[in-house]
Amino acid sequence: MTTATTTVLQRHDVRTTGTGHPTLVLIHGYGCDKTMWDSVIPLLKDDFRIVTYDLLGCGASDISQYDKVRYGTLDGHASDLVDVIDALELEQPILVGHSVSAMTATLAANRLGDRVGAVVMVCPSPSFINHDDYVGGFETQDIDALLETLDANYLGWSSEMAPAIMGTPDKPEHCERLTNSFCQADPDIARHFARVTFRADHRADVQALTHDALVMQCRDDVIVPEAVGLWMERNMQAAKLFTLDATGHCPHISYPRETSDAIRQFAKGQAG
Amino acid sequence: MHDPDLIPAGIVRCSPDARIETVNATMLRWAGRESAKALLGRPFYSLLSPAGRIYFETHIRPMLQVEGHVQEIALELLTPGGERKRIYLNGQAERGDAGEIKALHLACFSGGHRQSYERELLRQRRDAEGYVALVKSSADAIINTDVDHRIVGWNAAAQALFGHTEADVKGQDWRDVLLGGARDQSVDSAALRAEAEARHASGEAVAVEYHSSPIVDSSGDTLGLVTVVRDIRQRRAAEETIRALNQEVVHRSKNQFAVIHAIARSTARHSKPEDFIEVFGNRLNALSQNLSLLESQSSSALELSALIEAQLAHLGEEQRARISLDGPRVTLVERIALYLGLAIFELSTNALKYGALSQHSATDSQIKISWSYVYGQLSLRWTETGVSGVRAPSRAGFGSRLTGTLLERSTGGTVEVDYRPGGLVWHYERAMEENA
Repeated sequence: MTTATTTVLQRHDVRTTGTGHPTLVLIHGYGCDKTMWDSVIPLLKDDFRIVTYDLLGCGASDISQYDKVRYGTLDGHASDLVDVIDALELEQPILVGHSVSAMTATLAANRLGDRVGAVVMVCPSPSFINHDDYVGGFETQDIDALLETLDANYLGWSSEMAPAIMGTPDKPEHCERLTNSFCQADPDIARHFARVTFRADHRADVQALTHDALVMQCRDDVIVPEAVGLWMERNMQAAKLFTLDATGHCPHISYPRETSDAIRQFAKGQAG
Repeated sequence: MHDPDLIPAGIVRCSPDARIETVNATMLRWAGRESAKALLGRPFYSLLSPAGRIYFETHIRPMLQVEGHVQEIALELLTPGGERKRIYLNGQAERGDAGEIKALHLACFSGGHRQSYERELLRQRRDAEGYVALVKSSADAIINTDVDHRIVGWNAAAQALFGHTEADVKGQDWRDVLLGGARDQSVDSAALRAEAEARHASGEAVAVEYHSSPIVDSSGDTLGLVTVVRDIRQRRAAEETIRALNQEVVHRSKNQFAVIHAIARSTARHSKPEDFIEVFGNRLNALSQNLSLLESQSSSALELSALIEAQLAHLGEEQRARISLDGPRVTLVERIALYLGLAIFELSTNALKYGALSQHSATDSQIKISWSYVYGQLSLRWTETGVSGVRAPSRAGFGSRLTGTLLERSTGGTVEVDYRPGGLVWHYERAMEENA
């Protein structure tokens, strides 16, 4: 393995498991880390090779490399995804992105063209904010209030949590502590990522996507209204809308069986 | 068993997918709802503000499902009437034998005052961070000292200006570090401003201006001093330039008077008394043209074609049309430009009186002014054609001195004059090291 490859894999704490074809790259969304996929991985690993990693600034990634300019848009995260695909020399992987990371997957697929097999979007939204006829579900002031809520919740623990979140991937004892602090992140980064996530508008990018795409929606997803899925199916070039028999915004946690079944059916269809 | 409706906390039991199953009276009241029945089966997040909904669904619910519990989450309830109530939420997942989640138990505590206080703390922390960032990123060196002048803080600009890191100088007297112990101020004195020679860590002198102000708290006690130090080396250099320029102006004025004196004397000697004012006036005018041009250029150097154009500006349109200019861009130092300008003016007035621009000339008479600049050698040629009856002047007046000996002496160049049958050819040549 080259140094550059090792660097990428360490930087994002990239994990590979499972056997089968094609390879699925699971990309966690805003608010958490790769452990969000822990319930679906056992259900998929006999059929697919599975890659998971932490977005920079989240989980066990090397947060010392978080750069507010690079990650000021999803493009920075998309470049990281391309780096991970290159480092593992993945051939036509299927990119599975949750929530905002469905957009990161879209940006990477647009960049890599036919080096990416297809895209699975779990509860995606190209824009959380309403624009004219487009219903995203939120107004700008709701997002500002969210940032305040984050501040209010990070007030107490930031100093005492700091040692745990400063862990480096090459020190396993730190990773241990990280898994114990599920979903915790450096407050400053979490706030920045929230801003990037909820203010982004990637409607043009999903419209430009030529890959086959599965748009998975749940009922009662407060983050993504039903209208968003309909908009995507109507405006994307090769998107199929699939409504899971599930509720909420995180079906891969709450409904791993339903979620993995839908991914498997789509991915196997692609492989054939 | 305790009556849950009497507990001063909102108690909610939810299904594994966070839908409300039971809710106590306190929770109902806080959420602004009339009946528990209407809430049954509704998602818990529907009781929250829009921001709270995002936070609950992206953070709290995943955490409850994976970790099994959450604590002290600050959220806002939103009533149907639009009223908000700040709460803290604790949650616990109830698991079955296979580890599956059977229910979510949520408890909400009234948290309005504490959250207001925490938000105020947060605002103040942001303010404080803002000030810290302000000092850190200031382009001026900012030194924070205690009442005994010992350095407490030292920003990046101070490090850049003086070469010491904050750790190096912490606890030292700032005057020892920068001024070598010049102690001319006390903490109690009012704001103080001075200029000084400070020392860089390398020993190099740095001209600075500093401005110290006492840091006074709200009860009037002096906590220390804040000193802003500004590098004034550029300003000092600019002041030097101004001084040098002043001297130059005096020097040049004296030269100008000498030139004017020579022009006056020579004009008086060679012209009739009734012509004196006009001829002298024209020559002064040429001198003045040169000065205007000098002033309009930013440096003390001048471009040759602009200089020539300025000296031909007194000609009429028809006369100017007969003159052609041809040569590369050449920049002259001021002294040469001054005398060359006077010579060009003199040549043009001679051409008006006797040469290619006079009544003696043919209708197709021309003046060609051409120059080259090769290997540091300037060669300027004034060639008149189409003139009949050309003859050398009978005596050498001041005009011919301006185009000849005076020019040669003042600029260190050589002049050749040839009165050819078709018109005058005047040639000036000089080695120039200062061309731009």
